[in-house]
Amino acid sequence: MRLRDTLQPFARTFFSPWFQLGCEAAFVTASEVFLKLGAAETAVHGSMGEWLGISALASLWVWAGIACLVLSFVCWIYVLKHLPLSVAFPLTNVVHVTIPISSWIFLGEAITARRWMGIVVVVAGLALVAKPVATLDEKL
Amino acid sequence: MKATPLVVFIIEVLAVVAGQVLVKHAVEQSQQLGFRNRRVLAFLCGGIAAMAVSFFLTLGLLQHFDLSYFFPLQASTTILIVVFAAVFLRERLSLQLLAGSVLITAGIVLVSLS
Repeated sequence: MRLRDTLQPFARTFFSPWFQLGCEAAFVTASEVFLKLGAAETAVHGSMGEWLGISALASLWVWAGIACLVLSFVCWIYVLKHLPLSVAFPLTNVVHVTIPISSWIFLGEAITARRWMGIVVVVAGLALVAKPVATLDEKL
Repeated sequence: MKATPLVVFIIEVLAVVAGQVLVKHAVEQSQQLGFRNRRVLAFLCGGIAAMAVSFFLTLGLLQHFDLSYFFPLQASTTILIVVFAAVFLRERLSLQLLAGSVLITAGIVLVSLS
């Protein structure tokens, strides 16, 4: 009984659609970094199917990316069960902040001043979308 | 962006939008009919198929562009999904939500131009 009481707040957090939305964004960020690592390893130029990305399946990084993508999809289905698509989807754009920063940290890609400015505007947009979400949260 | 990657990119964006709207519709229907219902399964499979198409096209595009360049471009899907959700799923579209989505897309365009 005590253990259940102790675990209850964690369970409540874990099953909150907002927490799952955060997990979804984290898995998408990880998957994109893994996919880029795999795609860079297997890039083929000049062949017929060079834009189809099938050759990238030879990389283990790509399979790690697929695993993260599957996990993000599970979280996403849970989010869709509880939130409207028109609210949840714009909020997933937090990945446009986390992915360039991850690309900078883990892949060594450069981020110019204009790109940083764009990221700031995205964050402002997220804040605007998040305000009605806060109202929605009160109703839940 | 040249003609071929541009066409691939447009198909990829349309596949993302279709995938999200179909899966959301399936999840909504499943609350009344259950996930074993044929109609629900058809929408779910259609959504997953559209997402699979977008996934492979994304991989193809990633083989040619930097992740930090390509991924922000993809966010043009935000406004499309908000509008499609209002039209096809009859979700409420507030001015603030639309303004936020426009701002997000504007930020993404700014990122893409860099």
